[in-house]
Amino acid sequence: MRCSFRDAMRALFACASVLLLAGLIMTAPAAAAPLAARDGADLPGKGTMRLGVFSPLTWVVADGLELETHPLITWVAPHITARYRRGELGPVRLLWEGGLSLPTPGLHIAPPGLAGYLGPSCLVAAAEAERGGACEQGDHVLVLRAGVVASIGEGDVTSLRLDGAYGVLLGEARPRPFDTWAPLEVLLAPIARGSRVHAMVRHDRALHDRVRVAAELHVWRVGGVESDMADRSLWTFGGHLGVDVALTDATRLQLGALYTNTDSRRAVVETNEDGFGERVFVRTQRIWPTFDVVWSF
Amino acid sequence: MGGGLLGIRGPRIGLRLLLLGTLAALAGCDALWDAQDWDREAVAVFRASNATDPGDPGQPAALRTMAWNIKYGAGRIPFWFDCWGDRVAMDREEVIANLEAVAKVIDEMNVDVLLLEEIEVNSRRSAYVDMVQWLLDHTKLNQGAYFETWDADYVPSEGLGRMNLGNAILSRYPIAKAERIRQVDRTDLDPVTNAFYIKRAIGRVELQLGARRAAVFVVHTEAYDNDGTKQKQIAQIHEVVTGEALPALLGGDFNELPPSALKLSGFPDERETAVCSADFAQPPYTPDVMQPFYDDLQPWIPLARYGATEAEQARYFTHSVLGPDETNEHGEPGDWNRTLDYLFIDPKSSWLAGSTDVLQHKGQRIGAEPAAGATDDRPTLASDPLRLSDHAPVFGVWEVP
Repeated sequence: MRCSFRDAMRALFACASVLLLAGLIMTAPAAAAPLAARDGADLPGKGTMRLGVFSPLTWVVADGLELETHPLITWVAPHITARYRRGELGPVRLLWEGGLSLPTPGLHIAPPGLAGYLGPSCLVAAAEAERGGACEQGDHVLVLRAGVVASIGEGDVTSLRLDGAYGVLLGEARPRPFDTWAPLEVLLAPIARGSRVHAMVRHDRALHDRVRVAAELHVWRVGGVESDMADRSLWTFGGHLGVDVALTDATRLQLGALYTNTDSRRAVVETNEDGFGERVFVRTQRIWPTFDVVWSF
Repeated sequence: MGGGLLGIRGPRIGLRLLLLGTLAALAGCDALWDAQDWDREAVAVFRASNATDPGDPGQPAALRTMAWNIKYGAGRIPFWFDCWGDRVAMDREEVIANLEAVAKVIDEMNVDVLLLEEIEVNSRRSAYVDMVQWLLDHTKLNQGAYFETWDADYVPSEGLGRMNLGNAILSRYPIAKAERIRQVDRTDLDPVTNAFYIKRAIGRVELQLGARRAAVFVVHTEAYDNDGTKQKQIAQIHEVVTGEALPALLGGDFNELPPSALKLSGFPDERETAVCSADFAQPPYTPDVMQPFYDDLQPWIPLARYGATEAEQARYFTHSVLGPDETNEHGEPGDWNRTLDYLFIDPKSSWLAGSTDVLQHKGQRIGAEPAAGATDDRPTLASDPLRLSDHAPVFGVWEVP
C-alpha cells in the first residue's frame, strides 16, 4: 500500500471529525427509541419505510416481509428485492431474501444511464446502422439473486450473510467484463461475468442510544468468462468500518470506510538482477469512503 | 444502482460508492491514475527473451530507423473516437494478429532503431497485451524503453477501463540510459477529465554504439487541444532536441502538418455530419510551428522533395483515420491524406542518400526515386501499412558520425 503522510493526515482528520460528531450526539438528550442495528436478520415494524440519499427505498409491507427498490434507478434498471424474516435456530434469527433485476438498460442508454461511462454508447451504430456491427454493448441480462442472513444477539448483533447472484443472458452476447473499480466490479459481475457469490460477517454494536459502530468482513468470488482478457484472480476481499448516528429519531447518518483488496491487473515495474525491467502484477488495495443519510417514516 | 439492485448488501455498496468513487482519490492508498508529477525521470529498459549480440555498428554507423504510430495494435478496427465505428476493446487474438503484421514490417525493413507511438502494455482495450515485450520477443530488436503517457486504473469513458499507453524506443543496440521528459498538459479540460487524460512526454534513450553513444527521441504531441498545448509541446521538443550534445534522432507523431503543406483542412476521413463527441474534432493545423525543425535539423523528407503540389505531397502522407476497407459519407475508401509523422536528425549526422521514405502501400518502391536514366534497384514493399494502423511508418538510414 502506498499511504502517504498526507493520506494519513486526511484519515486522522476524518476520524477526529467522526469522534467529535459522536461526542456531540452522545451528550444530547436520550432518543425516544435506541438506534437499531442494521443489515442483519431483523426488520422494522410493519409499514416502516426507509429511504436514503443513495440507499434504496425499503418498505415493510407486512410483518416480516420487506420490499426494496431504488425509486430513481428502477426507471433505467428495473429491480426489486424481497426479504422475509422467518425461522430461528435457537438464538439465531434467519432472514431470507430474493431479488430480480434487469440492469442492462441502464448500461445501454446515455445519462441517466451509464452508456458512455461504464460501457459503449454506440453513437455510430445509432446514426448509421450499416456501420453498427461492432457495437459492444451486449445483450440484456436478467439477474436473479438469493441470500440468507443469520443474526444473533439483541443490542449487539452479529450477522452472517451468504448470497449469490446469477445473470441469465437474454440473447447471444454477454457484455465484456467491465474491469472497473472493485466495488463496482463485484456489483456488476452477474451481468458480465455471469455470477457472483458473497459472504459477510458483521458485528453491530451500540455505543449509545444514538450511536452504533459496525465492522464487516467480506469475500466475493465472481464468475470467470472467456471474454475476460485480464487473466486475473476472481477473488475480492473487503472490510468495512462504519458509524451510524441518529441525527433525529427518524434520521440516521451513516459514515464509514470500505477497504477492498482485489486483482485489477495492476502492474509495477521491477528491476531484475541483470538490471532490466520486469512487469510484476500486484493486487490493488483501496479505501473507499461511504456516506449516507437515511430517513425512516 | 441501489445496494439491492444486483444483490450486494452489507455496507450497501451500490450507487453511493459509484458516486463517491470520485472522492476515493482523497482516501485511497493505490492511486486511481498516475499524476506523473515529475519533470524528468529515468525509466526501465526491457530486454528480449531471445536477445542477441548486435556487435559493433562501426563508424559511421548506418542505423536503419523507423518511426510508427501503431494505434495500440488495433490495425484498422474503427474505434469509437474514430467516429467511423463503435469498438471499445479487442480480443487477444485480434491484437496478436495485428502485432504479427506490424512485426513483419519491422523485419522486412530490418530495422535497427524503432520509435513507436501509441503502444500499450497493460490496457483493457488491447486485451492487456504487453506490446513492448511482445515486439521485443518477436523481432530482431533486443532492448526497449517504454515511456508511459497514460496510466489509469480505470478510465470511465465508453468503458475504456485500465489504460497504460505510451511511446517506446526499441533497438538492436544496447540502451545505456532511458528517461522521459514531461510535456505541458492541456489547460482546457475540467479537473476530473484532466486527471484521467493523457500526460504527454518526450522519450529519450542513449544508444551504446560500440564505444560511443547517440541519443534517440520519440514524441507524440496532443491532438485535440484548443488552448495551444500542441504548439507548446512542439516548441519544447525543438528546444530539447536542438540542445542535445550527442548525435540525435528525433521521430514520432507530431499531429501537425509540414510547413509547406497545401491541404490544411477538409480531409476526406473527417465526418461531415455530427455523430460523435466534439471532443475528438480536429482543431485547425498550424504548420508554421514545424518550420524550426526544418531549419535546425535534417528532415527525412526535405521540403523540396515533399513537393509543391498536392499530388506530389500525397506521396508522403502518413495518416488517415479511415481505412481502405471503409468508406466515408461520399462512398470514398480511406487512403493516406496528410503528413503528421516525421524523422529528423541533428545537423552533423546524415541520411543515407535515397534511403528515406514513407511506407504507404504494398508494392511501392522504397526510397527516393533514382536520377533519370539510372537503374531503379530499390526494394519493393511486401507489407501493406495502410491496413496496419491509421499512421504510416516513416523510414530512413541514419548515418551516425
